[in-house]
Amino acid sequence: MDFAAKHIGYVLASYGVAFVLLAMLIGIILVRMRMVKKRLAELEAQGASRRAPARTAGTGQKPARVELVEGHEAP
Amino acid sequence: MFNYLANPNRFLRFQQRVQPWLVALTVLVLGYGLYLGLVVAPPDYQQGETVRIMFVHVPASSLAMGIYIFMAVAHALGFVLRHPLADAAAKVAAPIGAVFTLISLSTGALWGKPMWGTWWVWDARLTSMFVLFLLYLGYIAVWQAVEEPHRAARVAGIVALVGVINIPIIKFSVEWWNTLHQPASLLRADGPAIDSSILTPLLWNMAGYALLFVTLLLYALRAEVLARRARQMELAQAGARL
Repeated sequence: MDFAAKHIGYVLASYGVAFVLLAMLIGIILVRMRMVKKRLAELEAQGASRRAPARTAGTGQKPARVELVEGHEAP
Repeated sequence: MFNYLANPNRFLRFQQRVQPWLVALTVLVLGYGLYLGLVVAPPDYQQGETVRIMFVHVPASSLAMGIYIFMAVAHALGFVLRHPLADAAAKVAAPIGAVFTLISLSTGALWGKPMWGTWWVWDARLTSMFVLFLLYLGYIAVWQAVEEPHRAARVAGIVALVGVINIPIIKFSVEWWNTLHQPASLLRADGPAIDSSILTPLLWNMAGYALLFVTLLLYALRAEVLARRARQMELAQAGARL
């Protein structure tokens, strides 16, 4: 690439814009993952479970299943 | 594979296994594409060095459209097959698609100024691409605005499926209307109208961008699955307190 060429600034700006936008996107995705992992760790430390508690303790009734991903039960 | 990944636990294991390979492959292909585009490819006889903007602009534009199609297909599968991860995959793909659309619009403006003498014109191609960006923003806004996830998925699915009509409009806008934007030079009935010295770097960059999308999509989908688990734990915890 000839850095003295005409309009080279537009070429460098294009790559710069793409780099900055992609870096921001990757950063946001990484930060979200970190926040989610932190929240999961906090919940696990509190003893939280994905299963809803049994409403009729001691009756032998199974606790309700909690969906793994909303709308879909765990197999 | 499609049914296998319907189970979020299996998806998480699969994503963990393929992630290092995908990251490595993305870096290699994108790096090689950049090397070809910035170092090996010759300047164009008419456009000079500005032709190198093509190696950012065209892959970003293709992905911007491709990701929207992916979202519409994912929602269609979510509606019909009730695939557990389909809506979630569409949801996390949207911000990635929006960023690629923004890259396409901004690099297009940076290419347009030296070649056309203007940053922007309201011609059919540029306008329909801008509409795509607005569709992405609207789709993301639906997920943010509707609190109940099932309802959000349904409304967002309608936005994705209705909005997909814009994709053929973008593609054929340069043929249907008289535009400042050049006609198609890659996907043509009689083959690409680009010299191989420019076409080869372009294809490498397109492959690199596509790999980057897949890598980011799977990682963002992992975060989404874990976020939904955290939400279920919060709901279960709240239920236990009642």
